[in-house]
Amino acid sequence: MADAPPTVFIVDDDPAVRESMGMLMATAGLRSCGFPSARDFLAAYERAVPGCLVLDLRMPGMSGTELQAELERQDATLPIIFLTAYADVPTAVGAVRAGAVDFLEKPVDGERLLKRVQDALGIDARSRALRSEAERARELLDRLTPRESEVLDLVVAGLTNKAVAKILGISRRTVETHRARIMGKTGAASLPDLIRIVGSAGPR
Amino acid sequence: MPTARKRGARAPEHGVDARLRELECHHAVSRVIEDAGGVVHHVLLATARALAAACAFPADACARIRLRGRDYRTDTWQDTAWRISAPIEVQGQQVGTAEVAHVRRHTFRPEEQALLDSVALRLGRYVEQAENDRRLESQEAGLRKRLLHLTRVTTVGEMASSIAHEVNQPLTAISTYAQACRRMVEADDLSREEISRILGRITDEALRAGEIIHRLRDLVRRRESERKPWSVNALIHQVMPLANMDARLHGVLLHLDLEQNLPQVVVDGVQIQQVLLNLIRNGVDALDGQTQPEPEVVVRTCLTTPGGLRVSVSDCGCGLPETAQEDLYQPFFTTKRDGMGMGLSISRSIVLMHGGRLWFERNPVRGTTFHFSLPTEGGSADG
Repeated sequence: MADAPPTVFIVDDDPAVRESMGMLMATAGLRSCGFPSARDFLAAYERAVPGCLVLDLRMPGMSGTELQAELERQDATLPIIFLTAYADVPTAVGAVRAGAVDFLEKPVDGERLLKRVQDALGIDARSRALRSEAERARELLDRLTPRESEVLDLVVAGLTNKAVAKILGISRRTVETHRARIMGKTGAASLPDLIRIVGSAGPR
Repeated sequence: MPTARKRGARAPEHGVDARLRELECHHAVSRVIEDAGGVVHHVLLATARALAAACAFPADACARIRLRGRDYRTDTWQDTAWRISAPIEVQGQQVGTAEVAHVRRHTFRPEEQALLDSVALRLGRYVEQAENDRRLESQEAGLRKRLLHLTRVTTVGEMASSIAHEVNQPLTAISTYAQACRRMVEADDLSREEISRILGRITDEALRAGEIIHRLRDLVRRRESERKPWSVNALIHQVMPLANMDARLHGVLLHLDLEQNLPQVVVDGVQIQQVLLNLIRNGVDALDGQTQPEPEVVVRTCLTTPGGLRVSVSDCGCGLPETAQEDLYQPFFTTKRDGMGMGLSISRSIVLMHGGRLWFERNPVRGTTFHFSLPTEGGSADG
């Protein structure tokens, strides 16, 4: 699924707006999929599919900002470009603060929208890459024994083998053995490499 | 009293006879004023006849009343030398004359002059009253018309942002279709059929935008009241694009639950749509700020008693405050932050003018339902 082509999800209650937006996306070689309401989108959305959202702010039923909040709650980091009929500045500021990529006024400048969609797809691809790197790093670190993890923490904190041995009350020799195992299990080629893996795994 | 001028010794039976004719004449004038219901020319014609009949020689008498350059006379009227007259005055100004003439030589008696004077005085008062009434009525009708128009204009003003959103949708579609089409042309990636299809879409959307403008113009145009047979469901369908503008902006869904084959109603379509729009917008406003998953306003129609149907607009919103009940229909009463408070007051008078009734009830669970009834055409409920 991670290799699926990115999709531009267009959520607007107006069928003609959805269709024309879809055509515009197609001219830039982008795949798109339209939904008449926020609820329809939520029901069909699979987080594994990369892409971005082009979202009308005001719709009957669930509004654009409500959908944004719901995705946030589900920890789905799909970048959002909001479209609105008139400049509702406070809502726009709120939406952008809540992480929206941009806020465009209808009728939209097609080139600008395509540019922002490309930006959004870039953001999504990067965040997905980061996320998968983090997942891989966490997976690697999960293979360590509790003792190895302790050693790792101290090594990454910049302590020498001697200092680690002293803190843990074990011999320097044992520390070296642990370190070798850690490097083996994580596939890290060097200390900087090891630090990078710990960094991308994020806080435990 | 007209008989006050009577002087000298006359045969008593003569006096009684004359007195009787006077009373008959005044009675006839009173009756016609009551019956004519403000139709001035009926009163003047009947009065002329009564004046001629009240003469001592009724067979030879004729009468004419001139008012503001127009004549009202008995069929036998002749412009003879043997006549008496009295001025008709409205607010101290002579506006006409009442005359009685003899077609043969007879002398008029003083009491006949006195009767003519007193009838002319009454006619003056009557005409003054009738003209005042008519002026007030037409002023009132004019004011009512202007008020209805003004509240429609205000409604449209209050809907400005909804209208902007609504017109923007087809404009957005048009502009996006056109931009997509241009990119395809530039990339040389477009068939004739495709171009034709996209142009068709652009046309549809432009017409759609035009339709919204038409609806608005119908609503705000100054117009004479016009009643004709309508299907109430058709009126509801027609007002939906306008009502939806507001609903959409507030994230509210409008739901229709209309009974089919209802008999027609004879109404001023724009006025009834004004009522519908008011009630729907009230419902949408009542839902504003409510935290509900699917806020909804439902419009229902149904046949009620024979000869009547009912339209109901329900919301599941905040409900009316207990204290609102009394003042609800008063002009300028509002529970909204930015309302003018004319909606319900105007809506109720429109429904009343159509022979219907407007009322509300609190829903069992939450929100409010407003109902109004309308008599169906011919009072028949066969549909």
